[in-house]
Amino acid sequence: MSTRIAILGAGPGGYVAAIRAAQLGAQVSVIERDNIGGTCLNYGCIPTKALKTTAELLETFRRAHEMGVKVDGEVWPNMTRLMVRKQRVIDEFAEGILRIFDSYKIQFLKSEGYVLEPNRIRAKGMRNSTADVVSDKMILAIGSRPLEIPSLPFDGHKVISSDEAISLNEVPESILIIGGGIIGCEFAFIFNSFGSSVTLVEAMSRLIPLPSVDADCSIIIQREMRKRKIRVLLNNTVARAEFNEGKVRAFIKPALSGEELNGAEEKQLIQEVDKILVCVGRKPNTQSMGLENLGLQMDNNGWITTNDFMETTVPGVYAIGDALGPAKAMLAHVASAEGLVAAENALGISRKMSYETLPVGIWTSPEIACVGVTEEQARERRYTVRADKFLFRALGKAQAMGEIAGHVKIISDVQNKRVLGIHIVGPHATDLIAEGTLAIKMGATVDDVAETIHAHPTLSEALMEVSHRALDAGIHYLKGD
Amino acid sequence: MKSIQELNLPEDLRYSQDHEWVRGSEEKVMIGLTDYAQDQLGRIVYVELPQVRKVFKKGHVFGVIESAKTVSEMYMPISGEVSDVNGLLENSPHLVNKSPYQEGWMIEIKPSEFSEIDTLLKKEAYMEMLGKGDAD
Repeated sequence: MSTRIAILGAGPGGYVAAIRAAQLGAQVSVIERDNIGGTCLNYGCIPTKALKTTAELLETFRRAHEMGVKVDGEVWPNMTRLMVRKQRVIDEFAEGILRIFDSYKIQFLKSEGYVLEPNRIRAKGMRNSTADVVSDKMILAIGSRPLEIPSLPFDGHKVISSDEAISLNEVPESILIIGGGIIGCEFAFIFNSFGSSVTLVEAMSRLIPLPSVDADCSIIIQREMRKRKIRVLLNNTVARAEFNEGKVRAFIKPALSGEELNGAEEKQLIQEVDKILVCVGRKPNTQSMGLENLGLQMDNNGWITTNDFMETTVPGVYAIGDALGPAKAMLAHVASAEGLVAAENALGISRKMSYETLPVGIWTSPEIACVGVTEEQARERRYTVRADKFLFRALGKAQAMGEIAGHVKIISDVQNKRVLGIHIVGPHATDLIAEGTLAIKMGATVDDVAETIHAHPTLSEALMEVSHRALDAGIHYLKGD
Repeated sequence: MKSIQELNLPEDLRYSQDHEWVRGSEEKVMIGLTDYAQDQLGRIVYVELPQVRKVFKKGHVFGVIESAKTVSEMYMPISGEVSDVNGLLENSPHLVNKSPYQEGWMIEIKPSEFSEIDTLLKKEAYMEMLGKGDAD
């Protein structure tokens, strides 16, 4: 008899694990209370990209005159149409996953899953129907949800999370975004393109204050926000909010003490907006799923602990994805990679999860993408490194596209010329990062990248050009520059 | 690009090695980019200026200028507190190309050590520096 695998959660971690387990001959059941695809497909990666595509189209239309296109009248987003298209993208992709499930005879139960013991999940479906899924091994892929600010709870209308921000039927005239991390910055550009007046409040001293994101990328993004009249308030927090006559009044105050402000406004600032979008992080979906019946180990914040094989402290119970917390990078592609590892280990193939060479994409305007170490991290690890930069505006393709902002930065080891990190801020950065990821994964040197012929005219030439610069032989730069 | 002889370099200004110009008194000093700098940068597409009341030391970065070709930082020629910035540049950065000494000015400061102006170059010395080719 084949091994029975039960997977709780059908996001990019759970559904990928299910397919891999089925490929390895397991009898697989997936229990999911929401639609297949998880946060990624239903509330995150994919719907925001649908919104982003429309936002970019609006931006392009606004540059019509410059680009030699005559547009009569003004261009506005049609949110009703946009929501229809967004939902169609989601539905068609979801259907595709279900078809793959069918082809592998994977059982999909759209039910609330409640863990009774390490080999039994109670699936509570519609109209209170229940069924127990008995398994040999279990994979928890239960995901995360937006974190709330206790003093400013979500009401789904005036104070919203990213879950609601992707489903607005009207463009808010003004919106205040709390949190200048990845999600907050992405939405700031989207709503700005839609025509909202956007204010972004971030408690730290820079946007996207993640150790894996190069500080120069944050500076460029802040400048691009300034160009687009997005109001950015760094070192600030929202102390409280008042609601009246359909508006929200946010009381913004510095997160720093007086001395650290260096001339910045010290007094409290009051801003009246239509909506507040809170993007201050996410929390694990570990509540009311019966996890206490497993007795598995979680950290102080409720994130599940696993070993390198994705197994929790309970033998035979694996965990993957967002529920492992930010230490393991809460990204869809990480969840999928963990899903493959968990499924293989559950079925007798021993494989460790590796978080090395992990690309991160951020869909701001322009985009950001990073892989490997930052200059700062490399120095902390005692590498002797050099950092070289190449501006996109030195490329013919970027000039022709009219998208010249940004650069590629390469971090390389001075001793052996190995590529240690690539940080891109610029057009199509999230697609361009794949070459850098492969270079680092394969242990490539800057010579390898510099000597690789890159098609002209493409944005990918930036990777080659920056590698030339790392060899002190930049081509499209002034001598000595 | 202009030859050195073609450059517009007013007699009454002082120039920094980083191609900023300075004009004013102990009370108020205007700062901008030289004709040489705007000519080398090419078409200016964006100027990022500091907030009023910010205090900078001589040599520190006070702003960023983007052209179609490159991105450059701008350095304080003398120390002081920013008292005004040229708001017109936000939507009309090309003024730096068109009128580097008048409409294209960058910031106005209250100098903290006005004597620093003596460390800056007069027109002839600036031209001589440009002539030697050790600029940039």
